[in-house]
Amino acid sequence: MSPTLRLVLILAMAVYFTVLLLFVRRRGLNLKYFLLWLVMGAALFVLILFPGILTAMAHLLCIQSEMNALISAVCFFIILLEISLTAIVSRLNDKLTRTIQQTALLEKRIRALEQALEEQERDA
Amino acid sequence: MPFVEELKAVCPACDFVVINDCSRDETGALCRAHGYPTVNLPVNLGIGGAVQTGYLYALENDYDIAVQMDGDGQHDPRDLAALLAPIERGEADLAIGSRFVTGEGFQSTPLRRLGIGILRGAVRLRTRHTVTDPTSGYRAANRRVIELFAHDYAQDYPEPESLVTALKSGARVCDVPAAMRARQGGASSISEWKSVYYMLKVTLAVLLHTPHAKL
Repeated sequence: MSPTLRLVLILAMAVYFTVLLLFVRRRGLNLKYFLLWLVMGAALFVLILFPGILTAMAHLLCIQSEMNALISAVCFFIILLEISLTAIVSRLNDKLTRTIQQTALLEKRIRALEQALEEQERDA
Repeated sequence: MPFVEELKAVCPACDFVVINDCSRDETGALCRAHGYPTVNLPVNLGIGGAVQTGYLYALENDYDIAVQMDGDGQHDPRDLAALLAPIERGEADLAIGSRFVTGEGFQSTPLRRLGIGILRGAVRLRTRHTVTDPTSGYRAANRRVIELFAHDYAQDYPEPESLVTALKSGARVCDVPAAMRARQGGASSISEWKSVYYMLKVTLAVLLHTPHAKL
């Protein structure tokens, strides 16, 4: 990996962490999801800071260049993140379903109460 | 809604509730006009979420037995007594109305019967229990299964998967002969081109079944 490329990658990582921090502080990114991105960023950062790991990885897997190894690693991390995002959506979906159900049941109870109240007023 | 009137005529002692899952036809207006007790879901949840609402309703109102019936008239209220019998005798926790026990009534198309056969095999593989009609939505559940389904009920195409939920939790499930009729109104939620997706999804759901996230 050429020194220029490393410098650019390190700068890119700096931008990445800045944006991430901005999202947490200004855009309300939940801390628990922030951790996912933080861990991925940290892993990438380690790979860029110590290119020896990439060289060894590329050599071991017969990948032609370190950059390809890096891209493969990034792809892998992104897929992991996607899975966790799907899990998050699933959980939200379950919660939303339950909320909708309870809303509907509550609405029925309110209607019944209103009806009972009306009848009471009519009788009075 | 002739079906609801039929139910009231056959079983005047039973309480019923209509779950209106954001229906686009006149279901809501009809129920209001007739004064049927109705739970109106503000957002369309699909059959799983809608049926589960019914079980939640049964749980919140302390019913001992809940019966789930399709609103399109496929299920005959005259089979109710047979469906309730094993539950009342305490022989089963969940009774499934099955069109295949006696082979009477509407038997569906050959292709659908094949699909049902595959699902039956999948349920047997997973639970070592044979349910002749795992896709049947005509079921009676006791308190135990009401509680279970209120907390954990499959979404999308829920019948076979929810059966596995019940069997895996140790519920006793039994088959009861029930003749199905061709629906009086409305369309099946499973159109022809969706059936491949349906089979794949449901077979996988049965084989990989895991409890849903605790809420």
